[in-house]
Amino acid sequence: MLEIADLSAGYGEAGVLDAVSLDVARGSITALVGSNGAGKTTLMRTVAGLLPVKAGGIVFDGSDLTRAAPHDRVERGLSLVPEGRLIFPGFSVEENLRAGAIAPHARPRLAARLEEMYALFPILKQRRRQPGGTLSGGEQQMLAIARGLMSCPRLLLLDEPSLGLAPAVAQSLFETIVRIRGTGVTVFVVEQDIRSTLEIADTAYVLENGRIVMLGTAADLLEDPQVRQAYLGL
Amino acid sequence: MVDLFSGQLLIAALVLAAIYGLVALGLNLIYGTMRLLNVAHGEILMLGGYLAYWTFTLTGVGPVWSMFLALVLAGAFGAIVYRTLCRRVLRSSRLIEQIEANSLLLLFGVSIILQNVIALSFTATARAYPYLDDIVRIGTFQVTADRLVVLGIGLALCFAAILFFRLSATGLQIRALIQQPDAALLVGVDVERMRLISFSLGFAIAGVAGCLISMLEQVSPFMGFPFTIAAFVVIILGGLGNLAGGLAGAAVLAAIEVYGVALTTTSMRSILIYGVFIAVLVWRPQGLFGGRSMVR
Repeated sequence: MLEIADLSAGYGEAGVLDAVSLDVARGSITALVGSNGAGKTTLMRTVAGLLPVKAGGIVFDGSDLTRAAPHDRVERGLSLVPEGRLIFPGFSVEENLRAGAIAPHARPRLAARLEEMYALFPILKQRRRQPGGTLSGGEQQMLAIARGLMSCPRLLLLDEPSLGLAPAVAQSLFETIVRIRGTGVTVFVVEQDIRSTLEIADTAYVLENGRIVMLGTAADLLEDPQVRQAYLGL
Repeated sequence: MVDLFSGQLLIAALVLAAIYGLVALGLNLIYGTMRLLNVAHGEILMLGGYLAYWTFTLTGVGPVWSMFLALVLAGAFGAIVYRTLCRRVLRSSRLIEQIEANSLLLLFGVSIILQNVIALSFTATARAYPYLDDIVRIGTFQVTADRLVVLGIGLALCFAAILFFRLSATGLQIRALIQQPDAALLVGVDVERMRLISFSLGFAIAGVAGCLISMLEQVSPFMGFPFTIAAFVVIILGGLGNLAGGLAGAAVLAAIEVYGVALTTTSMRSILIYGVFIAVLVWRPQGLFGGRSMVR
């Protein structure tokens, strides 16, 4: 569904990603794991169109997105829930969600989608009138994901969704990701919590210093001695 | 001793608040959506004033009608300035500090050019025209009709703008862009289009404000700058990028100015404005209303 070929990108002159290639299969949960500074967030921001591509290409559902504007990517069904959530702090929860459905194809479905999101995250319904900035970290992450889903994406990109969450909250977040995939949305997730991620993912890639160093089914990677030693501390 | 409860002072404060509100709204919109400080904002207002003056002098058509022409022309001028000048700056500089510095220089240039082109074309003499200056009695106090018209139109425009930003899809996108530019891109806001709309709208409102001001004050090539400064004070009072807060800031500044001058002398006017400016920057740089970095 998403094909990234020999992608190089980064901030300013220094490249962060060095010829990265990966595929996200339709209907899958695909994970990209790696340590801090490996280039995971850079990859996500480049796929969403926030950072320019230096070389290589991004193809989504058969159409070339390499040079597409960010809003065109949303319109085609791609949505990124960014690292740090970036909710609109002064907007109420409901306004945040309305802003999520600003893409032309999503606007007619706004009301129905809003109810779906409140069903998926009942706490957001309770807090619908509250400013986004007053929510707890876990609630803000739910809001960010719900906002990302408001544009009715076919591919949801999640950048470090568990960052800064209490372990119990993080655990329910991983369950939520599985439920989202169950609604027919393909998920591409970047995470530092490698064990929990590999437990829910189908396919996984390991990124180190801007290069893919390992790939395989998530189950295989969980058993891989190198991964266990380097990332799981076993 | 002045009567602080007189209707005249109240009307004067409300009229000034409506004008400051309008002028500041455009400045705030442009700053909020692209971090450009439009120091040429007062000059757009001045152009609006001249348009109203010449339309009235040459054809007898009053500013209540020429303001629609000002709206369209100033809006188109805004789109041209954005497309030809500002977009380059926004694209070529990567850092926000550079954007602010470069845009400041660029728009100072635009401001000086506009002042001098008008001074060359129409001389530097201040001009005024008689329009709706009959006196209206309301209860015990008297005002000239033009003030009431300016007040009515000014307030109506301010509230229309607030409703537009609260209720329309475009308004939601612009507010999203002001609050969190990266997130706005991610939810699918067409940022380039919203910037163009904001720039155009900001200029259009300034042009209309100029028409209204020309009913009360003389127009001259250099009339704009004090309004630019007042608008800066207003948006700092209300919180940078906070559109509704700006209107409240306009009311506060207008009240301080009108009642302050009434209690002292006219020569205190600038001292009051700059005094408020400095006081706010020192004690409440985030604005009088909103919390820390909250923008609505």
